[in-house]
Amino acid sequence: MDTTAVSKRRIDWAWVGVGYCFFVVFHLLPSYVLLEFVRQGMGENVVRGMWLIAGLLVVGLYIGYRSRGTTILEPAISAMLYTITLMSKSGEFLGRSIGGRRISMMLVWGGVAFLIAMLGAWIGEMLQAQKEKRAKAS
Amino acid sequence: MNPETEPVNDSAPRRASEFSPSFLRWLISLTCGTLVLFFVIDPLYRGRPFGEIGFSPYPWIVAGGQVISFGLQEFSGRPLEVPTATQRYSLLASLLVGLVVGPTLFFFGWRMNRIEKESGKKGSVFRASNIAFLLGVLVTFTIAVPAIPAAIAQRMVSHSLRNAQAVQRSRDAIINDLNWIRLFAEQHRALPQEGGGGGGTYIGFQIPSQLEANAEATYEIVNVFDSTVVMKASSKRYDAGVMVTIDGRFARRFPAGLRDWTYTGQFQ
Repeated sequence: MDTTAVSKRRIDWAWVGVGYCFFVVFHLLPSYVLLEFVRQGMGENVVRGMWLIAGLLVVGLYIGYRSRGTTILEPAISAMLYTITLMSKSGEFLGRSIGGRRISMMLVWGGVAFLIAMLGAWIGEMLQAQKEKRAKAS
Repeated sequence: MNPETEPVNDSAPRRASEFSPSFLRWLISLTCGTLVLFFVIDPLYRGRPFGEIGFSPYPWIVAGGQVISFGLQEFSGRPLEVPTATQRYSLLASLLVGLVVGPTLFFFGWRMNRIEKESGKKGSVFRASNIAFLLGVLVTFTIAVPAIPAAIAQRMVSHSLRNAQAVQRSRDAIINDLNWIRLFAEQHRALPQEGGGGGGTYIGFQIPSQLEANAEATYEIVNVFDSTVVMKASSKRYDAGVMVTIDGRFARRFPAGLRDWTYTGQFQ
């Protein structure tokens, strides 16, 4: 039997959990504390959107960069869970019936968050690879 | 790197965790704290997360709002909307949580922590005493402690308002008495001299004895001229007074008016 057989890489669920915690601690908590100060002269929704995209990108990038091995899907899954958490707060679930439209909205937003965090993680992995290359060269 | 084609080596020893236990503990604690803040505390501070139950960390603010609402309902002639039993009990629960349960947890957790420290026991970060202490700190320092200066300020403002209202009431009563004296002055001016009056002037007018003094003030005439009388009222309750002139110069056919009101002391 070929021990170096190529198989599908397993998802590192520890990083999914830690990634979710990172999103909550490093994005949600600062958002809660600072968002009042961030809103200055711009539409609230624009600022919120930009803040969310920046947060997903940065945290995804950090996880991709710092984690051992390749972790691209993990922060993306965390971002999707995190976005669902945020949507649950904004009344998408609580006190309302979950219809098809809501589920599709949830999937769209979760998918967008998934892609943004994956992009961040991919950039992080690239940076990590470059760093390793430089370390080997020196 | 291709995540789809990484080789799997089952015989390799299990990788050491990338996360230290203390890091994970802190991360999970912070995550839980943030989620509690986001899902529980924030809705509590912003209004009524549970419908009519309406738990409020500051029930005295809700009570103030209720008083204002009653006032507006009275003012607009609508029947008062008495709070339901659920609303009352939820406010009572808010008071108990904020002022009784919170500080109790705080001191209880503190005491338990001290006892555990003295006995040299090392427990988990998530032990009951720590959780009770943290919850107690949260409730005590956000609700119970700010309630003390708020209560003192409320008493001071309430006292100041009551005092201001009492001064205003006293001033109104004195103004009313001065109006009564003006009517007597008018009678005097209207009566002919043969009948003991002034014959078209105020000369000889004196304040009737029953109006010279009452519970609010003493009244005296400062100057009497043909067509004007200057009166003074000195408050008995406050260090204050009122001076006013009865002016009959333009009131041959009509009652004289009161003008040149001067308020002194607390009536100012």
